[in-house]
Amino acid sequence: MGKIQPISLEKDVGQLFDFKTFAIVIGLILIGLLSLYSALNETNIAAFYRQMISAGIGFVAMMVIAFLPKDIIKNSAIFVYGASILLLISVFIFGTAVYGTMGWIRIGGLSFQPAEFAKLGVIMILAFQLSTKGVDIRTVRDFFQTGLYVAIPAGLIFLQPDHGTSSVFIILFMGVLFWSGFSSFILFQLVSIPFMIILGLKGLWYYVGGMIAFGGTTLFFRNGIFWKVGAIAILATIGYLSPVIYNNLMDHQKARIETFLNPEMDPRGSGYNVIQSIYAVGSGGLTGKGYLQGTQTQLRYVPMQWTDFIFSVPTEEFGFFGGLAVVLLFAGLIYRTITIASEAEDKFFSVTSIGAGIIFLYHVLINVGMVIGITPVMGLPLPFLSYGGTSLIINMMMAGLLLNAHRNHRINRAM
Amino acid sequence: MQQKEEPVFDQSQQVDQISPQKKKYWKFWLTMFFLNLGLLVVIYKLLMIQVVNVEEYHVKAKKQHQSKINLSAERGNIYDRYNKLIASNIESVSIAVDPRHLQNKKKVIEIISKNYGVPASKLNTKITNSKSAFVWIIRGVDPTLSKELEALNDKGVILINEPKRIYHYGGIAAQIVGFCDIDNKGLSGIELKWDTLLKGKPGYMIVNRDGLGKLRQAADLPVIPAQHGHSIKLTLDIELQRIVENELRTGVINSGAESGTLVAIEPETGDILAMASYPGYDPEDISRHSPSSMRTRAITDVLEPGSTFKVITAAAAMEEKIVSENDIYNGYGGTLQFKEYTIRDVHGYGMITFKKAMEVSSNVVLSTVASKIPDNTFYKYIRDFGFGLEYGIEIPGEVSGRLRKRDDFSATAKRYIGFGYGISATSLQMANAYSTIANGGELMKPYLVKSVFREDTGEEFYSAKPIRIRRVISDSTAKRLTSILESIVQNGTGKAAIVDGMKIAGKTGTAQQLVDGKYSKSNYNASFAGYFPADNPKLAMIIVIDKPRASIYGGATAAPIFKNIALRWSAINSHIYERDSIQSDTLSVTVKDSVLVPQLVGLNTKTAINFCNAKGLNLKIKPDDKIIISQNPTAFSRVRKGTIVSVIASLPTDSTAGKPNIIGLSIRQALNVISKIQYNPIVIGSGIVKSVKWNPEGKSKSCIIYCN
Repeated sequence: MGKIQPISLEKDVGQLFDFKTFAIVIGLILIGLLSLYSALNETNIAAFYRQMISAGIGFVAMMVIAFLPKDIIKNSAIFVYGASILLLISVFIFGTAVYGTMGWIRIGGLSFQPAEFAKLGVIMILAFQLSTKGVDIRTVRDFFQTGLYVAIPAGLIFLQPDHGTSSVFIILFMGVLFWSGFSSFILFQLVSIPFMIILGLKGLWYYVGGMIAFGGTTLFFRNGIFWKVGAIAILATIGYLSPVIYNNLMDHQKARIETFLNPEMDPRGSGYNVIQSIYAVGSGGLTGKGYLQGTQTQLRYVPMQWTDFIFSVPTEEFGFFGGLAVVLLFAGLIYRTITIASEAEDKFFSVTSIGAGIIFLYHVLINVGMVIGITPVMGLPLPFLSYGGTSLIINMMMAGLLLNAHRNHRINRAM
Repeated sequence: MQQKEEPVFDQSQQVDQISPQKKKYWKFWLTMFFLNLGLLVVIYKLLMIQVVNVEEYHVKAKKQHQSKINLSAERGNIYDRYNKLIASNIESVSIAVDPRHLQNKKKVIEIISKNYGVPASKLNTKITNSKSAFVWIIRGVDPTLSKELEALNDKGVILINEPKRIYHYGGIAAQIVGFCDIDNKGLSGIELKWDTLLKGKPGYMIVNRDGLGKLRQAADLPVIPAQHGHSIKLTLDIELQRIVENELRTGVINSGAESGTLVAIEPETGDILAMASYPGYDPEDISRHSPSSMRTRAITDVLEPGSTFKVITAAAAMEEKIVSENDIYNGYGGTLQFKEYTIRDVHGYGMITFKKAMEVSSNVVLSTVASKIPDNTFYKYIRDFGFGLEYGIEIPGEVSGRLRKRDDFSATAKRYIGFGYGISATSLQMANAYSTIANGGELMKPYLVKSVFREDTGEEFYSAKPIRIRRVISDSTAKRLTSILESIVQNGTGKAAIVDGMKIAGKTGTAQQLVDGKYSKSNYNASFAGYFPADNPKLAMIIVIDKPRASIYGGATAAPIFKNIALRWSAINSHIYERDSIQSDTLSVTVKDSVLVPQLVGLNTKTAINFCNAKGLNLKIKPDDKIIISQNPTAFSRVRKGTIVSVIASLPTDSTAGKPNIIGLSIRQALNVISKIQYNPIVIGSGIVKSVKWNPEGKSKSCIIYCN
C-alpha cells in the first residue's frame, strides 16, 4: 500500500474516507434505481419511489456507521445479533407470507425482512466472537459456539422457508472460517460435498470423475491417513446417496433442481422466468436496445424482474457493456472488501469486511448466474439493485462497516 | 492469534507472530483467484449470450413479443348484370375444442347441442376419440348463437370468427357461380375459375404482445393491409335465371325426362343472360348432391343437335344462293335411299318448297340441300357459326364439341350433317349460332363476366366489351332465315312456342341419342332453339330435354318451355326496352359513375385535397397543415363523382377546437390524428377505436383510447 504519511485527523478527511468503496456503492445504487424505473414505470411506479426512500434511509445509515467510533460498533454487535434473532422469531408470530415464505413483518404501510437484518447481525457477532481474546476457532468448544451463532438464524430462516437466504449463512460461516485460519482440509471437504451431490445426480461417470478429482486432491493435504481415508469415504457415500435422497425430495424442490439443470425443458413452468431473463439479456446484444427501449423489459416479459431478475434490465437496455459495468462495479467492491479485510489490524473489522465481501460475492454470483442461466433459481436478490428496502438498507449498512474499517485502519496507521 | 488449547483440527501452519498482512497473504491471493474465476465465468457467459449468440436470442425474443396478426381478406362479391347480389359473405363462427383443456365438457356439449342441433352423443364421441389438440366441432354457424358458449369462458373452447360464403339466390345459377369449401376456397364455377381475384390477398400486422398476452400496437411496426378480393359482375340476369330454372325444371318433370339444359344469350352483345342445367344443387349443402348436378351442362356436355341444326344448313345454302325459300324439293315420300343408308322423315312429303321443308323439318330435303353445298363451303359456314371450337367461357369445363376435319367432309357426312347428325356441339354453341342469326349475322363471343372491380373503390380491374368475332351471313340472309323460323313456329313443328302478341322465331329438334355407337330408338334429345321478339331479338335461347318420356318431340316437350319463358320474360322486362334512357338518372347510383368517399379525418388538408381530386370529388378548402377532424359525407359512403365534400379542419395546436372524432378509425389513423393535436394517447385493446376518454388537464394532455 506504499508509505503513508502521518495525517491530521481533522484536516484531511480525504485520507480517512474510502472514496473508492463509496463511489462504487453509489454507482451501483444509481444503476439499480435506473433499472428499477425501467422495470416499474407505468405498472408500479410507487414501488420505485419506495426504493428511492429506502436508498435515502440507507445512505444516512451508511454515513452514520462510517463515522461511528469503533467501540460503539463492536459493542453493539451483540444487540444487533440479539435483535435479529428476536425479529426472526417474531416473524413466525406477526409475519406475512409473500410467495409462500413467512419472511416479512408489516407495520402500518412498511414491511421489513428480518432475514436481511440477520445477515448484518451474524456478520457482527462472528466478528465480535472471533476477535474476542482467548477464542480460538480451532477448538471444539469455540467452533461449536461460533457455529451455533450462525445456525440459529440460518435454521429460523430455513423454517420460513427461505432456503436461499439460509444458504447465505452457511457460505458466510465457511468463508469466515477460512479467513480466520480454520482447517483448510475440513473446509475443502465441506466445499466438495455439494459438488459431489450434483455430480452424483448427474450420473455414474460424473460421480467417478468427481471422486478422482476431489478424492485425489484430498490426498495432497498434509493430514493423517486416517483423516484422508475417512474424508474420501464420506465423499463417496454422499455422492452415492444423493440420487436416492433426490428421489425423496418434494416436487417443487425437484422442479427447482430440474429447472436449473435444464431450463428449456419446462418453458411455461418453473423455467419460464429463466428463459425470459435469458431472452432479455441475450437480445440486448453488445450495446443494448437503449434506456426504456428494452422490448422484453418494457413488455413485462420477465416475471419478478424488479426483484430477483433486475440484472436483465441493464443487460437488455445497455447490452453487454451495461452488464459488464455492473459486474465490474461488484468486482471492485469485493476487491475492496478483501483489501480492507487484509489491511485491517483489528480482527473485528477484518471479519466484518470479509463477511460483507462473502455476502456480496455470493449474492452476485448466484443472482447474476441465475439471470443468465448458470446457477439455480435461489431467490437471492442482487445487492443494491434489486427492489427491496430492507435488503438495500442492510447492504448499505455493510458498506458503512467497510468505510468504518478503512477509516480505522487509516487512523491506526496515522497514529 | 493465540493458542490456548491444543487445536483439534490440526493445522500444519505453525508460523506464529508474523505480521497480519503476511499471514493472510496467501489467503488474499487465493480468495482473489477464486473471486476472479467466478467473475470470469459470469463475464464469459454474458459474452456468449449477448455477443456471440445474440442473433439467436434476438430472434427468440422477437418471435415471442412480436406477433403477427393475420388480417383476412374478404372474398369479393358476385353480382348479376343489374348489380343484384348473388354471392357475398357473412360473419360466422366456427367452434373447435382442445379436448385436453376442456374444463366443463358436459356443459359445452350441452350448449352446442342445444344451439346448433348436433346430437350430444355425436359430439361426445368426437371429442373423446380425438387425440389432437384441435378438433373442429362445427363450422360456419350463426355467431349470435355462440354467445352463451363465449360466456362460459372455457379454456378448451376455441371460437374462430370466419367469414362464410352466402348465396342469396340459393340454388339459382349455382352451377355457374359455383361454391366454396369451408375455407372459402372456390371449388367450382366462377368461384373456382376466378378464385385468385375473388379471394384477394390477406395482410398482416405485427404487434407487440406483452408478458400478459395483451397486444400493444407500436407505430414503427409494419402493417400490411389485407387486399380484399375483387368483386365480379356477371352477364347473368338473375331474375331471368330464376325463371328459366323454374321452367326447365317443370318441363323436365312434366316430360318425365332425365335432365335439361338451357342457354339464353343476348344476341346484340353475346352476354349470357341465363344458363341452366337441371337437376341443380344447393351450394350451401353440397354434400347431398351428385357431381353431375354441379355441371353446367350447356358447356360441358355435347350432343348431336338434330333438327335445330337445319337452320345452319339453310343459312349456308341461302347465303351461297344454292337455295331460296320457294325452291321446290322432292320429299321422296319420307324415305330417301342413299348408298346403303336410308334417310327418313316422320311424315312423308312429296314435292314441297324449301320453306315448307323447314316448317315440317324434313330430313330428306335438308339432306339434299346439304349435299349441294360444296364441302369446303359447308365446313366453312359450320366453323364460322362457332362449331368445333371452345369459346373460352369464364367457368371451368367447357368442351369444343366434335366437328369433322375439313378433309373428312364426304358426301355422306354432309347429307347427315345437313339435318344435325354426325356433328356434336354444346348447347352454348347452338344457342350462339341462333343468336348470330338473331342479330343479323354477326357471331358474337358469348361471355359470362362483365366486369371485375374493387368493392371499396369501384375501380375496375377488368371490364368486358362485347366482342364481335365475325360476320357469318349477310343481314338479308339472316332476315330471311328469321322469317322462316317465325313461320316454323307459326305454321310448322314449333306451334307450341307461339306467344300471342310476340313474334317468336324458332326451330324444334328431336335427335336420337347415340347409345353404344348405335342410334337409340328410345332415348332422344328434344330441343327447341329460337329467339324473340323476332323483329328485334332480345333473347336467343336453346332448350334441350334429355330422354323425355311423355313425348320425344322437341315441338311438344321443349317448345312449351320456350313459350313460358318468353311470356314471363316479357312480363318482367317491359322496362328493358326503355332501360337505356332511364338508367342514368333514376336508377340507383351504379358502381361505374360513383366513387367511394375516402377517409379524410386525420389527414392534413393538402393530402385530403389530393385524395379527393384523384377520386373526382370536390373538396374546397385551403391547402395548409390543418388536420381534418370531421367530414361529410362520411367515409366509405358511395356518392356521385363531383359531389362536394365538406370538412372541418383544425390547426394542430388549436386546443379549443373540438376533439376529433376518431371513433371507428383504426388505431393507426387514430394515433395519427392524436399526434397532430398533441395529446399523449394510451391505447387499450386493438383494432377499431370504440371510445375515447379525453384528459386535457395536466402538463401533458392525454387521452385513453379503448378499442375492441
